[in-house]
Amino acid sequence: MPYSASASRQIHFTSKGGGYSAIWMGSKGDLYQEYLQNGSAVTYYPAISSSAPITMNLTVTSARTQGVVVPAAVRYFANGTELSFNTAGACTTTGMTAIFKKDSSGNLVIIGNLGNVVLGSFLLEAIVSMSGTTGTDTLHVSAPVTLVPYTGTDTAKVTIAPGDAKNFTISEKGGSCVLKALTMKGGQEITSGLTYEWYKFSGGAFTKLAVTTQTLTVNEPDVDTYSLYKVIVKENGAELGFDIQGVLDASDPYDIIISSGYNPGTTGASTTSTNDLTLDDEMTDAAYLEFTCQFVKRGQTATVSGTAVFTFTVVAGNGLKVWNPATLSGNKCRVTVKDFKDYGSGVGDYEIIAEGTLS
Amino acid sequence: MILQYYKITPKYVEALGLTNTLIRHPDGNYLATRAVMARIHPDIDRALELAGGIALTPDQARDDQMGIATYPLPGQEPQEQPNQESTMHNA
Repeated sequence: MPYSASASRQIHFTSKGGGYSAIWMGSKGDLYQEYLQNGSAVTYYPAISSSAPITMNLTVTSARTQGVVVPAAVRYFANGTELSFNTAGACTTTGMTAIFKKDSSGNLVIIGNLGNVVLGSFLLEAIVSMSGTTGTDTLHVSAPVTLVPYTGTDTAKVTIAPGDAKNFTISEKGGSCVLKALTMKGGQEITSGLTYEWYKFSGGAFTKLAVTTQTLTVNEPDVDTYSLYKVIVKENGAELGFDIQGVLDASDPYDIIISSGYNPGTTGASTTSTNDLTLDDEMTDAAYLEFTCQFVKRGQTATVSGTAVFTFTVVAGNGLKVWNPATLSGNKCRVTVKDFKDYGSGVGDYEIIAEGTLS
Repeated sequence: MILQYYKITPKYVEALGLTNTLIRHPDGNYLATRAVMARIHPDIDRALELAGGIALTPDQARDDQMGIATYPLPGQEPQEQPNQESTMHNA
C-alpha cells in the first residue's frame, strides 16, 4: 500500500535542526489583539491578564524517535529582546515583567497585553535546544503577534486553537487531537449563530469534511505525518473569516528527513551541507539551496526501501503557494536566487514543503 | 511599489513552458509574477491584455488559490443567478 507523508523546511530563512519539527501555538490560537486609544489610555480586545492568560505550548518531535521530545533548553524573545526569568518563573526583563512568565513546564505564559511590548505587530520567538548523541541541535520557531486598531463589530477574526492539551500533536497510535475554531468580534468571543466548515489539505487542495461543529477531532489515521486543516466560519451564510492549522502525527512510523545544501552557483563550485537556509539578492542568480529528501522509519536514519516519489512547493509567508521547484533525481529540488526573483514575493520568509509517496 | 501577482490563462504559461513550475488555481488558470509577465510583454497592461489576466494582491491570490474567494478572469465570469451571494472572502 502506498504511504504518503510530507515535511517542510523554512527558508528565511532560518534553520531547523536536522530531523526536528515543532509546533508553538497559543492556547487561544493566533496571537491577535485590537486596541482602542483614548488619550494615553489604551484598551485591548480581548484583554490578556494573569486571570485570562495565554499559554504558548511548545511541542517538539523528532524524526529519529517516536512521540515528543523534551527540549534541553528554550530561550524566548519578544520583538527581538531576550526574556529572562527567575527560578520561580517570573520575568525579570525590564518592561516585560507584567507581560510574561514561565509555567512549571517551562512554557511561556502571556499574562499582560501584548501592546505593552510594542503597539504594532511583532514576533515572539523561541530558540529550542535539543541534546542528541551527536551534540546539540537548535530549532528556531516564531509566533506572529498581530495588533490592530479596534474595528468594532464590523470585522471578525477567526483562529484555530487547541481544543485539548495536545497542542495539535498526536503522539501515539490510535490517538487523536482536537481543533477548536474561535471567533472574535468586537473584542469578544462569539459562538451563537455561527456555522463551521472544516477542510483538510490533501492532494494539493483543501477538501471539505462532513464536520460542521465548532471543534474537529483529528484521528491518527487521518494524518500522514503532518496535515493541514482549515476552518471557514459563517454567520447567516456570510463568511466571517477562516484559519489554517497544521496537525503533527508523531506516531507515524515513517517520516521525511530533509537535508539541505548551499551552492554559490559559480563555475565548478560544489554543494556544501548547511542549515543556514539563507539566500540574498546580492548572490549570483545561479546560487541555490538544494533539498534532498529521504523516507526513514522513526528511530532509524536509514532510508526505507521502496520507490519514493517527492514533489515540492514553495509557499510565501502569507500562505500563497508561489511555485513548484522541479524534482531532480526523484528526491531533490533546488531553489535559486533567480527563482525567488522570478516567482517569489520579494524579500521575506518562505516555506518549502516536500510531499512524498512511498510504494 | 505595491507587490502584485497576476492570474493568467494557460495559453502563455504553456507557451513559456512553465505549466509544471507555476501554481495552477482551482479554475485552471495560473499564478504569475511581474517577472513572468515581462516575458509576455514588457508593458504590464499589454501583457495582461495578451494573457487575458488580472492583477491580484498577494492575499487575494492566496484566497483565490485556496478556493476561499473567486476572482474570475475577463470572459470567465459566472452567469449571475438571482439571490446568489458573493463568494468573496471578507477578511
